[in-house]
Amino acid sequence: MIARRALLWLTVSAMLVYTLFPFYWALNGSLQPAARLFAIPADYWPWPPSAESYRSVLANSVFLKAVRNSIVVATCTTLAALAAGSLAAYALARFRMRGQNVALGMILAMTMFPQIAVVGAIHSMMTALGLYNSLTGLCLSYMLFTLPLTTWVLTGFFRGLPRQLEESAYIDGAGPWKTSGM
Amino acid sequence: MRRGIDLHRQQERAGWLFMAPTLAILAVVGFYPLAQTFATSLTDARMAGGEPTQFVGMRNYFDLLSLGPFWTAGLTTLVITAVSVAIELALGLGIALLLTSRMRWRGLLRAAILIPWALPTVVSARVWNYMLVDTYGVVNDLLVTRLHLLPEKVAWLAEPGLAPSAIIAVDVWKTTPFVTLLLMAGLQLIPAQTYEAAAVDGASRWQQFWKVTLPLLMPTILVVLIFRALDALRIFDAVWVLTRGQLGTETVATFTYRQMIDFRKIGFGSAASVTIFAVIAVFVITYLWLARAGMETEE
Repeated sequence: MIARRALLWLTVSAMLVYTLFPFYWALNGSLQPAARLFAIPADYWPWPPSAESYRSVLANSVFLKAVRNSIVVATCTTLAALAAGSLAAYALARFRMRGQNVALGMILAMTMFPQIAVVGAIHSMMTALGLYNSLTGLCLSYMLFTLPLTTWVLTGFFRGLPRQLEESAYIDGAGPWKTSGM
Repeated sequence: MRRGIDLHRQQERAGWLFMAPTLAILAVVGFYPLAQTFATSLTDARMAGGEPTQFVGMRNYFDLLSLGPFWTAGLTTLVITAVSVAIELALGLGIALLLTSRMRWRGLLRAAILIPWALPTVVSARVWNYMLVDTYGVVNDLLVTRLHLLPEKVAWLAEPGLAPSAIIAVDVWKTTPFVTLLLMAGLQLIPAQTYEAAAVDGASRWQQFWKVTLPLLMPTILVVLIFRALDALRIFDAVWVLTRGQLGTETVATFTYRQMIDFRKIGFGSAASVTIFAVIAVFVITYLWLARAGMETEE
């Protein structure tokens, strides 16, 4: 019994070391003074810690701009994907339409093809639209990866919601627009 | 009845309107570029070249298929995919079994093992690069200087025999959490009564695993296998950061990128893209076919 517990925790520790050590190493590196980064033998404990790297990265205008860009792109991609995706998902989950499964399958197929197959064409399209090297262009191309997933996940979510409310709305004479709350 | 038909028609019209934004966006960023890539693959287009583009028919495809490096890249991609997916599945299953069993700090451990999945690959591959460097890398420091497990320092990323394994190691580190997560979800779908019944019948833990867990987990394993294989066949960022596709680590994705961006051969690169797309489509169709066959036997 004790041997078994020991084996269990040994396995868990090995798993944690493998998973977390690279993070520790990045943290360690970030707190070492630049001169100690390439020390041989390696220095495992950043003591005394140095704020040198943090100071220089936070004073770096390129880095700060990149952070701002990431936040802007992430926000607008998420909002746009949610807006378009939730509408499509509601229709896919609740309305009975011809060609519904084909549409769902095509949306899923979007997540499966290799990105390398479209980068060239997206590049020339963005250049033609004057969106090359712009945040709008970046947001738009990210929709290719986020929108299918959003639609799929939300379709599952809407299917899980109780139907009774909508049914009573239909019985009371509301059309699909009113019922969905649009 | 009349009202029912009416509602149907209304739903149909509203439905397509609801789907219009999504379909329009996907048409612009998905279908159109894909069609464009296919059209370009039949020409000799070059990036930023002033020369007029000419239609060359299937020539790019013939050139591609008679090119040794493309086949080498294809083989490398298949080997990386097969080995890393196999390891991820084995490790992921082990960890998933461990983390669904009753133990202390289970929630905390579950959160901890998911961390690698949350980090962008470019960033984690950089960290691994820093760890694997032969001279000051911490991996050599641990294995050689501290633990004396190896006689001398190893150039993990600079030796042709080792570079692919380094890429596999990073891929395994990054995606095992994803596999674990899906397998844990699958394990939770197996009702506890099945195990109780097996235990009453005198099945050992080992027998329970082979006769109950594994067969009931098969559908989940199949999904994981396909999703991971599709992802691994497209592997790009880890390779690009760690070796730039040198030393026997060129994959079809880095090969295509090199043709398009470095050599500016957009037409030829597009032909390579379409070929990868076709191979992946075969995988997807096989999967859908298998899934449907699986559903029919269940019914």
